[in-house]
Amino acid sequence: MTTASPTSTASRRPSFDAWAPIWRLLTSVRFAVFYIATLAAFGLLGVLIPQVPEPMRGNDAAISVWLEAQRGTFGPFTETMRRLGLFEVFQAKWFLFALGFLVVNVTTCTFNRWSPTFRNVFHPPRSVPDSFFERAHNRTVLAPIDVATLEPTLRKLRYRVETRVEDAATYVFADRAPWTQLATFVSHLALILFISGGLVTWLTGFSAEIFAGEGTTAPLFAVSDPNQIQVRIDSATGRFGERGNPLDFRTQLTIFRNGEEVARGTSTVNDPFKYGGYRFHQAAYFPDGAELRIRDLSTGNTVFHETFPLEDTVAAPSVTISDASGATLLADTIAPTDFLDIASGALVAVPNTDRVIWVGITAKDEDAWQLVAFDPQAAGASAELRINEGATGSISGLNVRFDRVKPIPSAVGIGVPGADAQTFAQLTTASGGAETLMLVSTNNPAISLAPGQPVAVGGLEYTFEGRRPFAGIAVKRDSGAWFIWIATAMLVGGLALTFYVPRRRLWLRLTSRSTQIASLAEKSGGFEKDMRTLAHRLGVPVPTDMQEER
Amino acid sequence: MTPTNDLPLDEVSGVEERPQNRREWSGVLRSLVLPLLLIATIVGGLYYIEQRRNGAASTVDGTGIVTLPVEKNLTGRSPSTDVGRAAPDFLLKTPDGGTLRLSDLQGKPVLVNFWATWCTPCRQEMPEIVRAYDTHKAAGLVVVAVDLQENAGTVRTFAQEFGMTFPIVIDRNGGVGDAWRIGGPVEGIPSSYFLDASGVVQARIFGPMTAETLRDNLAAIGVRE
Repeated sequence: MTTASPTSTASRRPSFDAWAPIWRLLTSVRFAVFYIATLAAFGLLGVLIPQVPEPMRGNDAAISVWLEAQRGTFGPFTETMRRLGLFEVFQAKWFLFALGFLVVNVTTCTFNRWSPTFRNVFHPPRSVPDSFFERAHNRTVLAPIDVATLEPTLRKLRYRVETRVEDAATYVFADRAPWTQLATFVSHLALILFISGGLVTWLTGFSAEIFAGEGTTAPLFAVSDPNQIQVRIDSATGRFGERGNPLDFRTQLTIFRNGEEVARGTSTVNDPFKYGGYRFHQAAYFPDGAELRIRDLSTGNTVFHETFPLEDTVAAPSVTISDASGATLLADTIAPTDFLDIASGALVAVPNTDRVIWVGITAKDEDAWQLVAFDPQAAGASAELRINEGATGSISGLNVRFDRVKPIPSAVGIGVPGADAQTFAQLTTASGGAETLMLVSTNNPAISLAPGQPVAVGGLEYTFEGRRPFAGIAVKRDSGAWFIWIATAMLVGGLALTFYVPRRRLWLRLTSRSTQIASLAEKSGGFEKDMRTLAHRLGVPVPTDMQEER
Repeated sequence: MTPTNDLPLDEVSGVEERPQNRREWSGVLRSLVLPLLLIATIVGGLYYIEQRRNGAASTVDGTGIVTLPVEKNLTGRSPSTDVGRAAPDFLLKTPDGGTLRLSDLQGKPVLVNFWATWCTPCRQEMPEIVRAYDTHKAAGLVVVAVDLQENAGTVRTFAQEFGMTFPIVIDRNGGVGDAWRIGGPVEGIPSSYFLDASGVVQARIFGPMTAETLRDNLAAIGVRE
């Protein structure tokens, strides 16, 4: 038979010597494996060595303080490690350069294998010299087979079959799923896209946190930015279970860009709102905020209009006061307006009586609170009461039970005009659900505000517009995410094709004495198994002297 | 099982038993430049698609920084926000759709205040600016409040509430803020520039102003109690 013209098996090297070492290096699989292993080792360093926390990056003063804390661990090596970028491995220029070089390496390595592989897939040698059947790495010999039986059997096994008769022999070329050899390029491209995605994310990724009250707007970028986006929190809601466990947080958002409304929607914990490549994740919910408006009565102008979170708490006693007959006169939480050395509390006018008593709370020790009450109009031992949580005592003929300690949401130093700097606000909720915002300062009487009811004090009009929950929105933009998704799909697809779609190429020589079979020596293996299957289907004995490279 | 001989089978049969292991040099262009260009194209294409999804801000109808007419620049030097230089000119829209050009206000002392409704210090200082304007407007003081990139309705509501009767303009794409170095080294608003009647920057304050700061700097542009 005739043979295909031989093809050089040696690597073709660049004719221009200057390129030769570069090309050999970039196309060397061994070098690629070594290089990836080295990069992985550096990555491991970035995991094992403490890294500068993200908020500190770019802030030399903060980094300096952080490094001082590391000296306890790394001692005299700290400065050298800093200079080498070992405290910011994944941000270090050398690491990013190394990743970029890996892309070049993998790309070159892959593409220089394209031509031989392409040729092998689409233009395989359909005929081989007879000697090949004696020397192929994978080969076997079966009993004589009729080509009329062989062809349909191979086709049933999903081979593409070509037959040629020459002299006393019939030559058969059978090829199954040759295109899966190209899957390796898909996997390599996926690797390149993974690295590129990481680099794009590093270069252009964006992350910010917004914490804003209902009805307020917050910018995404600091001050002015060509891509500035403003986020208005239209409503923030939280649902809780019977035990106070959170069930769902959601926020209605409106997005403004260039001064125009461009989108509105809902963000939940599991379903972020998306706009323009940005993802607005519900990251937090805070129920205790208040909207306060203050007008200058002489001009009518607003001089203060803020929605602020009440992020602190102040301890307040929940008490039940009853008369001698046991009839309950008052059952409420006493919000403190006086902060005295002995306790924090307030004067309480006891309903249906003409009595006024001061009720407060103080820390008895680290774990317990004590209720302190006294009658300002009385004197003597019976005019003061000190009882522990859960206890009942008597003062000036009134029975006082210290039911429990209740934390009241509060905020210190909210900058209200007309009051001193220590002004703080606290939001109380009565047992009936009525809310009161109380503004307290050291030198002025407390101002108690019910929702929507203006109160004029000292030329200013104070209006508590109502409770306003706050939403924490984490805004992220990951330009490299597309790369990662596509790369993941390609990698999975490429690997699946490589490992789960069996490819096989057979050359068969049929004579009256035997059937010689040779096959490609691919490491995916399975030649022996395939030959057993073929023999079984053809009804001939399974060969015993099979050559298979493993 | 080991191979039965060591001869390179390809040489004889033309069969490439492990084509993936072979590499071929096809010249610098095809072996090195072309693959890298291809990868750059794929990565660049994906990046471009991603950036298009961003819907980047567009410029807005000719407003923004405009050239200061030569005859209005008495310093003889290019406009700048530095003290002693002619202030950069701008043309911006008002919340009601009108326009205002800064250089048209030459002849009067001008306070240019960069602010936004979401900015807490801006809200805190605004009553002082309103008070100063109400006090000195008869003496010719003009306040130009430049809102950064906000919605006109939001700005209008805030202005009515706080009694801002002076001109307000909106820097829709942040271009004027950038040129005036808002968000530069000082990073933030409010920022205030005091221009004398010839349009020259005489003082600038970064951060919220108190009544005293305002009074002292207004005096620098000839506005006194």
